[in-house]
Amino acid sequence: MLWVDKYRPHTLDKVMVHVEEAQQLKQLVSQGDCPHLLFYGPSGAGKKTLIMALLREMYGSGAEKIKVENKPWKVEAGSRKLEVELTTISSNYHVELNPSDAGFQDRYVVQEIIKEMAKSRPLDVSGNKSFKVLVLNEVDRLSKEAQHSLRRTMEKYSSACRLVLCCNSASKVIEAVRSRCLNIRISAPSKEEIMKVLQHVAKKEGLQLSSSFAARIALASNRNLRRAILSLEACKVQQYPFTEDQPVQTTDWEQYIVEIASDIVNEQSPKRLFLVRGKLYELLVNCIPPELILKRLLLELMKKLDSELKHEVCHWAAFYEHRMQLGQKAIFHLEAFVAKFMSIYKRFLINTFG
Amino acid sequence: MGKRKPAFVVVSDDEGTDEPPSSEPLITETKPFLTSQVGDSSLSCSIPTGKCGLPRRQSFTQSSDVQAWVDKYRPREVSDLAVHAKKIAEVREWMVNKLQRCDKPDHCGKVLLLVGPTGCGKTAVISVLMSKFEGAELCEWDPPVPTLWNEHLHHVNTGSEGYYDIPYVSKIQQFTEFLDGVTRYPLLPLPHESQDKGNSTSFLRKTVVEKQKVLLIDDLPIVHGRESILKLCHRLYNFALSVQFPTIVIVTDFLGNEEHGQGISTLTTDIVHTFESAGAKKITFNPITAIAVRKVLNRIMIAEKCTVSPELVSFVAESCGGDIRHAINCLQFLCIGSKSISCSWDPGGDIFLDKSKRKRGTGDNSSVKRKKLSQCKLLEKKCKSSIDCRDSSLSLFHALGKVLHNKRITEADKISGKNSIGFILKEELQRHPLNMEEPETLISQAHTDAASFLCFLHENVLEFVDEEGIEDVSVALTYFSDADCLLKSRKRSSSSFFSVHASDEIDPAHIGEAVAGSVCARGVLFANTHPSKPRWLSIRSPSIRQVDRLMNEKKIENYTKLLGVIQASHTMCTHVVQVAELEPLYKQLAYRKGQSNLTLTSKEIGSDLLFFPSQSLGIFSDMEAMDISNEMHVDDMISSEDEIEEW
Repeated sequence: MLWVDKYRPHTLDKVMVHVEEAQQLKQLVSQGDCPHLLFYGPSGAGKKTLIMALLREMYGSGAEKIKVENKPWKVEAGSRKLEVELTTISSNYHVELNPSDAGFQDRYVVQEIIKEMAKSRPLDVSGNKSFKVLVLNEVDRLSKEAQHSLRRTMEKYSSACRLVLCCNSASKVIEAVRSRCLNIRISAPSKEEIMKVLQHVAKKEGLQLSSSFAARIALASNRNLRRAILSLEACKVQQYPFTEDQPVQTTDWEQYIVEIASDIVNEQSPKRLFLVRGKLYELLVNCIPPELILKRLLLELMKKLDSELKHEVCHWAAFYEHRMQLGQKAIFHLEAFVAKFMSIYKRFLINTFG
Repeated sequence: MGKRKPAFVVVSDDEGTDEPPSSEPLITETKPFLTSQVGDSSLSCSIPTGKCGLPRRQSFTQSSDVQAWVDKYRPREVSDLAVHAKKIAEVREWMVNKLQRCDKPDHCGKVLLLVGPTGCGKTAVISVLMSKFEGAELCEWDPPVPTLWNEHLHHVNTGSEGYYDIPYVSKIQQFTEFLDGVTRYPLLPLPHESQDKGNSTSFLRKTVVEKQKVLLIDDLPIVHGRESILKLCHRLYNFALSVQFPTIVIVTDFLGNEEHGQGISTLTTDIVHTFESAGAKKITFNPITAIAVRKVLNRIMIAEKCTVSPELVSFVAESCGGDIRHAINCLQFLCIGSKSISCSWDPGGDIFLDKSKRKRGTGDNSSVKRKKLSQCKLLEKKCKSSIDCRDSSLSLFHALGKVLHNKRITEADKISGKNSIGFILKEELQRHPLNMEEPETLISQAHTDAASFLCFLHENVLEFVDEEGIEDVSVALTYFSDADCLLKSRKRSSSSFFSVHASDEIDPAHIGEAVAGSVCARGVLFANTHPSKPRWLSIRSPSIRQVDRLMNEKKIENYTKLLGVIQASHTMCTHVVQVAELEPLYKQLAYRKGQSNLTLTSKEIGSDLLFFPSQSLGIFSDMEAMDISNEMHVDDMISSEDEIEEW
């Protein structure tokens, strides 16, 4: 098992980051009931950990007896009948799934699964927790239609189930859904917090981790706790005992984006753009989400940029990121951003150096 | 059985009174015979009369005033032909070789292949030249009216009398039977002849048989599906090798006509290849030039004594796209209009030719005249809008080439076009007027949807901009981004609006698509202010689809992997996390597998993660292979266009 999973805190009392939020959640469910919840925050901040701990708090260890199922759902979409294969993780008390995996049929899937769940309420001896919890991941990747149908089903079956939604950006969740949930923002842990967790993991594993190396890992992780623990594990595999000058492992696609960024900065011409296009295609083929590519690319470009240009470049990155959400094919927008950057940068070079 | 098929008999030329004396026998439809017997003969007769310039067909003498001019003024002399003299000479040379020196053993095949677009005079050349050869007879395979499969089924199911006993024969089968017959019997027994012989012996005046026969196959059956194409090509190949007489095969070229689909154009090329490999001589006809068409039109106008303004004539000649048949039909249509109008305005008046006489008349006539002239203008306008109906179509590559090459009217002619815009733009926004059709027209002519046009432009635009023009590329790509967003709105609206709105309302989806096409084409045209120097440029087909396909494959693959991860860790893991964070780690772990004590899960998963570099290589070699196969020489196309102009 990966360290990330191995050292995941299982109860709300044991969490090391977001202690305050954990205590609030504990109070929230102490009455035995809870509203719908929407967790949002950057990747690797600890949303899922909190959710799992919350479930345990509500249902006891029974919530941890889970089974993984990959079954086809027969869905009636208007006059057609669809069969969508979805993976769910479920216990007696909850069901968890990624509805966005269903692609463009997501709205039928959401409706159908909630209906199904509502039909079979859990039996409880005490009889007071007569609702199930549905955990939906990546709600921000759901289509607008699916989110609207989610809203309706939330109201209709509110007596039978509670929804726990989890997403990165609350702005991509429609207002109607947000207002029906208790919104909980989970911010990215600070560098110090990450270092603390890393030290904790190292201690449990019996490793010697110098604070300076921990700081470097924390810095490289970009305040992503999961990333930090994963790279700690990778570094350990790479070389142990740790040395001070040991490089922190980065992922291959990020390496690739660094390459792209230097390509862009070195030459600004249609020919170079064509080369970059090929590299972007390769990233896309490997299923790296285009939003992530754009973000990463912007960060890399920013490192090499004169501060005079930073504002303008950021503006265009945001512009094309938005376009990407509106459009269909990400490559057009990614490439438009690259071309825009090249054009700005070239103009800057000519103005500065003649 | 015979009554469903038009009867063809061989008659000598003395029946055709309006024919110039020529020695060649004619195959004529015996219409009176047919019309008296069967009701549906009008159908069967109307098909062949659409052909132009064939002396073998005669129309009714009693209806000569409404006779189509295409038939009336079909070329009879070599000088009448609008085809380029070089091509005629080539065909003639072939004929001379085959016919007059036929006793010599001839190894170079007896098949002549004529390829060209519709209405460029392929058949006319053959018939005119053949008429000049004494002792040669032109025999044509005339396909019978085909029984449609659906029709056949209908008759069988409803049990209509008379049809029930007709066995269904497919067109291809008939054609192959015909080919068999031709190669087997040297006397060229056309199946129709033999069938109708019993009925129509009185009409059949057999000509002397010792004449040399030339077989003309004008109407190759069209088949669909790879298998049947191969079968047909195989038959044709055997036929071309074994045929006894000089044979002329006419293949109408659908080049660039995407409307007919890929199927027919590949069929055409397949057939042409088949014949060429069997040693046939191939002569390609080009569309007839506007000048030649105009000449022909003028000649007809003189003969018909009607006047159409010279502008209109040249308009017809230019809009016909090298299709002389179409041009003549247009002219006839125009003249019908002008005659009737002049009659209604001036009951006693003559046709326009007499205008000069009236001019010399009294002054009070002038107001009528002016009225009439304005009426003429109006008519012309109307006609222009109504005759411009032959949609010229472009191949997708051609349309792309036009947009990408960005031809504009240069400085010299700029002055004339400058006043077309009422306001003055900033210097950097000004562009020379386009030297081509409207971009929207181009897209519609290319018979493609905006989405794929966008993909093609996106794939190819970079090569067409100068190395210095990164700003231009940036502008163009911004327009692509716009267009992509517009296309997305198309999808959304088609799912929600389409079902709600009534069908007669304008579908917003279509508007979105049309605008997207316009934006991307015009965006490229506007942006590209530094076109690269004219050089060898190839147009590639977009790799975006390939990328999409690979991405989906990878997604499915990842999904199964994700299942493994979930089962191992017992926590739901989202796709993004898996791809962006977990998988690279697994890879790193897998590289070090030997040195470390890995956990079971990462071993399992890591082992099949090593393919990343090898697969990525695979993508690009695939893409390149695809590119090469789809490459097309744009300059080549342009030059062929120029060639047409020259001819």
